[in-house]
This record gives sequence, structure tokens and C-alpha cells, in this order.
Amino acid sequence: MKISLGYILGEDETSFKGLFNLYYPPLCVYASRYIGDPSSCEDIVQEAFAQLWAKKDRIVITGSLKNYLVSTVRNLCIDCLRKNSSHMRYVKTLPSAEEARSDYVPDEIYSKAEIEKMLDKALDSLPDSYRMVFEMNRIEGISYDEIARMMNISVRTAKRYKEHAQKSLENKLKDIGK
Amino acid sequence: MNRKEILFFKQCYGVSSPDEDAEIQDLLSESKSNRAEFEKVREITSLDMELERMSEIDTARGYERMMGKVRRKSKRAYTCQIMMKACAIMALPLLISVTVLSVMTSSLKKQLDSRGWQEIKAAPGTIASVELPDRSKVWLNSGSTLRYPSRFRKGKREVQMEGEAYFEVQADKKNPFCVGTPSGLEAVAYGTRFNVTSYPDDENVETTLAEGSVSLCIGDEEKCRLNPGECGLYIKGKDQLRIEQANVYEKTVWIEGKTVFRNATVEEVFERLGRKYNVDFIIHDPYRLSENYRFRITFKDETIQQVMSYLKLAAPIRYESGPLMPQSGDMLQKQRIEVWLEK
Repeated sequence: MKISLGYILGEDETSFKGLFNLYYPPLCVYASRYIGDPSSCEDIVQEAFAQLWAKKDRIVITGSLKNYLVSTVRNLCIDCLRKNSSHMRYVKTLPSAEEARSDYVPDEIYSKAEIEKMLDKALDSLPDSYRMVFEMNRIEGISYDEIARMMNISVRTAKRYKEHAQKSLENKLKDIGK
Repeated sequence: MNRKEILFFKQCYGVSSPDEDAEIQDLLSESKSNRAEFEKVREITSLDMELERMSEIDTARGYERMMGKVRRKSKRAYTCQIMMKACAIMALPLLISVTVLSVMTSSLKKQLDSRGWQEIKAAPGTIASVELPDRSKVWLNSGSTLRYPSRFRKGKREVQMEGEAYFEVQADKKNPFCVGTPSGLEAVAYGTRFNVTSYPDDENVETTLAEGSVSLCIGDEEKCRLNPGECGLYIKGKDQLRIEQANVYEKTVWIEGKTVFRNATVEEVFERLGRKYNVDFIIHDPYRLSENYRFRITFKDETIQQVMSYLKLAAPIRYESGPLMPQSGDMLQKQRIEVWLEK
């Protein structure tokens, strides 16, 4: 038995909205690899979802829904480029940045949560000092130069303390030796 | 802790200075573990930038817009459905009526086809000329229409006209050349040159003979025969025919693009100029002065503005141009000029 997407999603919009929230941002980023203008990227992804919703009761998706969305967005992007390029042929402009950009685009998208997980894993594989620097910058918003300055100070202070401690220790030892 | 971590991050976010780049190069060539760490940092920053780009996207607004698209789509689909239904409902009676009509008209159409009439019209402000199948030539004045068969019947070369036309008929004694007008008056000729004026808003149908001879007929009955230089005036309303002497040059010179007035009345002048320039003249003559004037003027390539300024020199008139009026069924716009005759 084949089950249509509409049956899976149900009549109410909640699950569709969940799907949208999950894949809308990564699909927009994906589209931006083809098309330079961010607002047309968003427009294309909106169109892809609108098409999906309009024919949800008629389509049966055999592969993953994510891949289906990616290929819909890709096709819409290519259509858009084709339309613009034929337009450009008349306008006689040079090939634009987005055309040059579209040579190779990997067909994989990840949701925000998935990327966050991947990022966390990558940080885990490094010494803790990297995580500290990354988090100071990304979470606390401290610039890298500022972090460097702070660490320099702390290093220098530490060095000074160490020297000071050494000296006083030496002096004390001398005193004892006398 | 050392500077390495900070330098790697700076490099991968593209904010490192050239000095720092050199330092990074040293670090990378120093050890394999540094290179591995650098690669990881690169991965982290690219993932982070991807997240950054995603967080710039307003998902809630995107959802609203997308739902708007869905609504528009379903509206379109709904309209389309209604249209399809309407089409289906309309199709049957349409099919029936088309079938009935085509059966009914097929006999009529055949008749028309065998006659193969053609129509030629001179656009307002232009003069058209056409050579008929028998090599007779016809000039059509501004706004006039001529209908003629693509092949003439034996025994009668029949054409129909409205407006003003000048004919140069090829001699053919066996097949008379008949010019029909909407008034019912027919001019029959064998080989002549003559001019016919039959405007719908004119009281008279005027036939002026330049050369040869022309019979004026009403309903196949010959009413009179014109001699060169004569003009047959048929008064439509009264069904009367009168013969007058005419200035042939004045009546026929329009085919050269000239407008010639010889002893012409005010009404005549503006009527002919109106046809030539596609202008509606509205004459105001509160003191009934028009009777006092007779014009003798020749115009050729003048613009309407020039013509008006000449007329102003010739007679005490004042005029005002109105806006262009859209004409039903015509691409050209008609201008309105109001003329006042003053003391």
C-alpha cells in the first residue's frame, strides 16, 4: 500500500510547520549556493514548500522527504538561473557570480540541530583549550584579539608571579643557608 | 595555553593579519598534530558559519509567506476548476449552435465565395488607389470604402462604394461598368473618367464626369446621361436628380493630394477639410455670415494648423482646437475644431 504525504502529515498544519521550521533555514542556505540574492533564495524555498503542501495528497515519496525537498529546491534554482541567463543574454551582462558559483553544489543539507551536534563533536575531538577559545568568542562575544590580550596578561602575570616566587624562595633558601 | 588556538580560529574566520599568517605557516610545518588540529578548526568554523547563515533567516516570516503562496495557488486551482465546469456546461449548447449555424450559413457562404468580394478602405487623412481586375483604376479619398469582386461577372462590371472615389474605367462596350452607392443610385459607364461622391452624411450623391459618358440609373432604370463637365446631383431624401455644370478640376484634383476650392461655401470648405484631415469641425455662425463668403484656395501638403492659419487670413474666423477624440472601431483619433464666424 502506498501512503501519500498528505496522509502522513494529516490535515492540520502542525507537522507541516515542524517540517518547515526544520528544513527552511538549511534549504535557504543551500539555495544561496546557486543564487546570490538572499530574498530570491527564500522565495524559491517557500515555493518548494507551497508546492509540497498543494499536492501533498497526491504525492508518494519513496526516498527521504529531505532529499525530495532538496531536489525540488535545486530544480527551482536551476529554472531561475536559466530564466535569468536567457534574460541576461539579452541584457548582455557578464556571467554573474551565482552562475560561477553553481559549478558544484553538494546535495546534502543538515538541520540546525544536526550541525550543532557535528560542531560539538568536532570541538570534542580537540584539546579543551580550543573549546574555551571558541566559546569565549561565540558565546561571550569576546574578540580574538581581546582573548589573546587577556591570555597574554594572564601568562605574563603568571610568569611574573613565578619569577617573584622563585626569587623569594631563593632568597629564603639563601637566608636559611647562611 | 598558547597563541595557537587563537591564531587558527582567526585564520579560519579570515581575520588574521599577514604577520599572524606567517606564524601559522610555521606552526603548520612544525608538527603533524598542529596540521590535524588546524583542519578540525577549519571544520568547526565552516559549520559555525553555516549556523550563522541559518540564524539570519526568519523562519516564521518565511512560513507566513509560504502559506500565502499556498492560498494563492488553491485560489487559482479553484478558479480553474470553476472555469472548467463552466466550459463544460457551455460547450454543449455552443457545439449545437455552431453546428446549426454552419449548416444554415454554408449555402450563403458559398454564394459569397463565388463572388469573392474584396474591400479596400482609405484610412482617414490618406488617399488609396487600386487597380481593378479589368485594369480600371480607382482612387479612394480619405475614409472612403470600395468593394469589388476579384473577378467581374460577364455583362456587368459591378463595384460598390461609399465616400468619394475617382474612376478611370477601361473601355469595354460589352460589359458596362456600374458604380453602386448606398443611396441606390448607380453610375453606369463604358470607358470614361468620372468622380463619385457619396458620403453617408451628405444629402447628395454627386457624379462628375471628366471624359466620355456616364448614365445615372436608379434600380436598373436610366434616369439621365451626363456630358463631360457636367455634375449629376442626386438628392437622397427627395429622390430627385439634377444636372449642374461643374468645375471638373476642382472635383477631381484630390487624387493628386490637392484640395482645391473654387467659389466654395464655408460649409463645403470645412466639410472637405474635415474629411481630409480627419477633423470634426463645429461651425458657429450666430450672425449668418457664411452666405457672404466664397473661397478660392488650393491646399496641398499643408498641415491642419497651417490650413487654419491661412483660412484665418482669408476670413474673419476664430477657432479653438479640442482634444483628440477616440473613434469607435478606428485606430486613428479624430480631432475636434470649433470655428466661429465673426463680424
